[in-house]
Amino acid sequence: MRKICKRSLIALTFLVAYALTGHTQLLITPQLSPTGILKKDQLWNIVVMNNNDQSLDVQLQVSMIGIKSGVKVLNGSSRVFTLTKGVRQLQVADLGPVQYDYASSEITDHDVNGLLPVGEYQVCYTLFEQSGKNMLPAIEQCMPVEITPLSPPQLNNPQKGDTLSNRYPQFQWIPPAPMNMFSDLNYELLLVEINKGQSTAEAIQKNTPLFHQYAIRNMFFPYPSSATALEQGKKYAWQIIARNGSSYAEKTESWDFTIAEGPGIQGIKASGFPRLQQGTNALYYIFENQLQFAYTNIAGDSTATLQFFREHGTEEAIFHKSIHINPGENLIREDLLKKQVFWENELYRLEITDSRGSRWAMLLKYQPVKP
Amino acid sequence: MWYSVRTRIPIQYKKPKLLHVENFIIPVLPYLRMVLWIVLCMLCAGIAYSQRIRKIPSRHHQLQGNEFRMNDTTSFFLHIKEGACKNNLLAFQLKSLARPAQLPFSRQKNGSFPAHGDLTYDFFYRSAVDTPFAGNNIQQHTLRANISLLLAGKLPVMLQLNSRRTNSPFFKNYNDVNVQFDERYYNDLMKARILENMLMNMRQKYTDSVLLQAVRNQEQAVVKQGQWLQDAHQLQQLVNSRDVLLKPDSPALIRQLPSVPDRSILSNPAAKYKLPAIPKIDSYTGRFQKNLSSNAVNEYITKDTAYLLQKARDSSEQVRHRATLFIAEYKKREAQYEAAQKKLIALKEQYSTAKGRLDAKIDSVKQVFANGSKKEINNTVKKYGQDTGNVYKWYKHLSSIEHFSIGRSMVDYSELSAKNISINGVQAVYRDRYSISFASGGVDYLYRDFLIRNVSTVKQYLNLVQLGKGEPRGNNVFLTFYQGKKQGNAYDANAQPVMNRVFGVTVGGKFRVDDNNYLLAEVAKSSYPAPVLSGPVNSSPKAFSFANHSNEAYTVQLYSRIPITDTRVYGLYRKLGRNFQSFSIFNANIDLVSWQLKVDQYFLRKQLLVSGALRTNDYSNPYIVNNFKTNTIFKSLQATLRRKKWPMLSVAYMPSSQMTSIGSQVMENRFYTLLGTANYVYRLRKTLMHTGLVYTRFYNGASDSAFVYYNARNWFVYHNIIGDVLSFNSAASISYHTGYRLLTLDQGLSCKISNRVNAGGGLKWNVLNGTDSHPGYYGNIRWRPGKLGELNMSFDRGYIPGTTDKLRKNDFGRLTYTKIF
Repeated sequence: MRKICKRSLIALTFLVAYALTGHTQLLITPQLSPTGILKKDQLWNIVVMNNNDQSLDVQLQVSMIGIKSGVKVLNGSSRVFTLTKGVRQLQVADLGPVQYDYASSEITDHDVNGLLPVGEYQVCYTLFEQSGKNMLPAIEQCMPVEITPLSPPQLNNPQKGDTLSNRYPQFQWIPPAPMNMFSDLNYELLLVEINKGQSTAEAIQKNTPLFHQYAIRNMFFPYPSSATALEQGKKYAWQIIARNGSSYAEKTESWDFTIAEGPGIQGIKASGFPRLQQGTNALYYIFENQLQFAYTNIAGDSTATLQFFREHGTEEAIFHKSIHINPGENLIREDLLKKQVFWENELYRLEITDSRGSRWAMLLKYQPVKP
Repeated sequence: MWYSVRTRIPIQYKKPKLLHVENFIIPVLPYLRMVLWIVLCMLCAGIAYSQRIRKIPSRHHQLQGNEFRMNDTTSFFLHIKEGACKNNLLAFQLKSLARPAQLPFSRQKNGSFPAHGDLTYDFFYRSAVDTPFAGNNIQQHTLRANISLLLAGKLPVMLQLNSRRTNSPFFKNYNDVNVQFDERYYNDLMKARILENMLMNMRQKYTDSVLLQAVRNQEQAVVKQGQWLQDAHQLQQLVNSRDVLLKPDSPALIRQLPSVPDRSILSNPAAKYKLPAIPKIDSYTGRFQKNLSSNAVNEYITKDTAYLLQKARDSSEQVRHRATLFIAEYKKREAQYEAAQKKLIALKEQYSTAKGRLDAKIDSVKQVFANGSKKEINNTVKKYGQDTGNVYKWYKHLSSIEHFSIGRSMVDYSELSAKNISINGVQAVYRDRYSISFASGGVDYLYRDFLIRNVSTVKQYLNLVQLGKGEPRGNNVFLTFYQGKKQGNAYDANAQPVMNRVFGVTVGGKFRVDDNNYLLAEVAKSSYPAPVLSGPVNSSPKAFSFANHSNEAYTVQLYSRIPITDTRVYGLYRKLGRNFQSFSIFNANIDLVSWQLKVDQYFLRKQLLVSGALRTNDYSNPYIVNNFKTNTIFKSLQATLRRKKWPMLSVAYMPSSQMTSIGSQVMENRFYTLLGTANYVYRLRKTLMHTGLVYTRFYNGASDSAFVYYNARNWFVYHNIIGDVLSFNSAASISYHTGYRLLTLDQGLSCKISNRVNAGGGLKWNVLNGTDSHPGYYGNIRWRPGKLGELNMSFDRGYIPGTTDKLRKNDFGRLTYTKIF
């Protein structure tokens, strides 16, 4: 029932088109997907309507022209076949044998059922009608198609959300498939810095790239150590765009990674009560929920002021709180991290200055766990 | 002070010249005026918002105009004077008065704040880039500001400004503005006020004022009685009384008897004038006589001795009697005092019990206000009958507005509707018993090739409504409707993208099993993209035909944590139909099934973390009879050891495979990644050292026919000496694969010149393929001039390997100014 309805609809469309055009005796409707993977035999999927009173001997020619280049890449011809009156759905089996003329080196797969190359093309159909010994063009119909690979390139490494200690990371990805759709597969690497509050996808499109490499032939690219090193503590987004020659094929999703903090500063997950120390900090502690630390009160103070600074911000404390302490060892637990003064994944310095003027500090980062 | 501008000068922006690194600062100048204008506008806006512009009629007689007072010290005048022959005059005057003592930009005593936030200006420069798309001498100016304002002393808003100017032909300039209701601060402010009122009312209501008054009265009585008992006069009298009663010749008794002159004194005529005045009542005046003569004394002694002795005997009895009475009185008062004290203790205990109950209530209320949900707060307010005040009514209405913003804002609703893009429009979230979210605006995110193609004419928009029930952190369900116009997955004959009208519905929710485990699930169905391919598989183009699943999508995510073993598990399953359309996903006539499983497990008391992950993506094209499929599998196994006083070691092995099947033909490519990292932080003679090694290797299967065998390796070794003042960093990096070998040696130094200034720099030696070598250098300075903010400047002369095995110069410069106010 559904098929009957569908065919009726197609017939109605042709009738309306015929009524509108008035003088047209032949009509062609390509049955192509406007985008996606495309095989050569799919090019011949068309619906033809013959409004003449008699059957016609015709030949169908298909040509593919690159939209950007304007160069014809493929020309195909069917055998001469008889087109009876009415609507007819044709496939390659109805038109064979078909012959192809490869006008460009873009098509590397010469199999008659082979895949067509990635790119944007104008596919034009010309129906030639036999007139005596000559074949005269009766009607031409074109439609644009964008041929894309079955699967896009996929990012591999650095992994999404990684923290790297190498300021010159090596980028790796998996190629698009099938590979034989590409005559000149190359990649473009986009690397941008993510601003605060931006999503990775947004950063890739809006921010000017810090690094933009073109025509990469391999599936990897080592960020050159001779170039400007990526900044410590900064978050970056990267994306790979696959091209066939200069034609766009597909792009990967965008992933982010962070370069580890400070000169040699490493983050470890806080377990127990990490101790406030004097002097330079080489470690920062990652707290998931509650901030807890040990402080040795050698000055014998009764109160201490906890001061929190942005490690890469100004000298002004963003938050401070006074607490009661005992002389000697203090194990302090503060439910401060849920206060909304701390940004996730930003480095902070907790500092206590005792009555002797000595500074005790600890670097910390808040990374809440998704329960 | 008056400033007057009487001419209108058109602002002409000149195209910046291409400059070399030696003077890369100079490109700032053409933009400086623009930047100053933006800063001026922002400051004016900030001041105007915070101070509420007041319009005052002008007293300027010669000009028609208005004075706009911006604050107490600054105002501007706008004058229009109509003259003959179209000689009109437009004048702008800025008036600045002496500045009063400046309030700090921190929050003021009443909790309000005029304006605070942060401001960042960033200038970025890159010289030559060896790609035709990025161009050369890229300059970019970015200005970002986040300003918090309190309108009318009640309504906190966040103003976000984001402006970018660049000479890159591929990235547009933009000015993004967002005004957002600061519901977090508003809620804090209102909650504090409600809590203050509540506590005051609770203290008034639940405190037993009669009992309190009784305690106070009793306290006063006890004090008064105690004072009487402890009074020195009373104590002395008590001692005297006891003496009088116990000893007949006690001095106390004798002192109270009438005194008899000493005859020895009387016999001494020289001393008679020193006699104390003996009281004797004058018969005429009735007063005591003083300064009696010796004769009078003798007469007194002689005639009245018997009388006086009798009188003394009578007085002694009276004194004893009075002493007895006083002691009785004292004992009586002592008993009364003790009884009053006992009563006071009882009253205090009674009061303390009542106060304890009130304090417990107050603590409980404070706890709810500090950590409770909105529902709990509302219940508490109602429980104590405090829900009738105006403050609470305002809080109840406005605190349900979880988000309201106008301008550029991020959209993040669900996996299958709209996510990770921004719109320029309106967004609002209202959450009470049910939640209603709304977003509407233009979308400028390009779902396809966005770098080369000039698709500036693409007009996309999104309208979205989401209805939900439940708490975001707890169980919840939501229903999302989205509609809009989106870039399609095809191009027309003019190489412009086809635009699709999109409509879709999603149903999803969060199902929490317990505190450690929850599931996110969502199902969606959308309209079909245009044009729809008709063919054997896609038989029904009806959007909501349940017989066809090509326009459907499903996603399930699992977050799990096993506390006993400290194991974390993440799972994902996603299925996208080839015709499914949404604003978070772009697909092109392909069915996609992907799933992922990731497990993190700690061992050795959290010293060893082992992570395993498996991820697959299955793409299939149903339009081809032979059924094309691509299956990519990513595996990952990583172990990280963090042990005290040991180097941190991390090893990862990540094999992946890509299998493509075309009919009966199957091809498989395998790729392998090997990562190794070692970091060691230690002290050497009190100096902190940090040494590290990073190794990366990416290689494919040698038997793969589709690819040339490659084996890309990268070594990175570094050593840092970190001091309080001076720090040194040394690094060596080598990357090599077929036809490529890049070696870089880097030696840097950073110095803390003062608390406000840090500076650093270094040298690099770069060698490509053993032949082309170039020295590079870099430097940076960070200056924190107190309250003026922070200035960072850096430059870097680097090199990028070109296509001709040569290193190409690439200069990089950056200037960033940040101010938090």
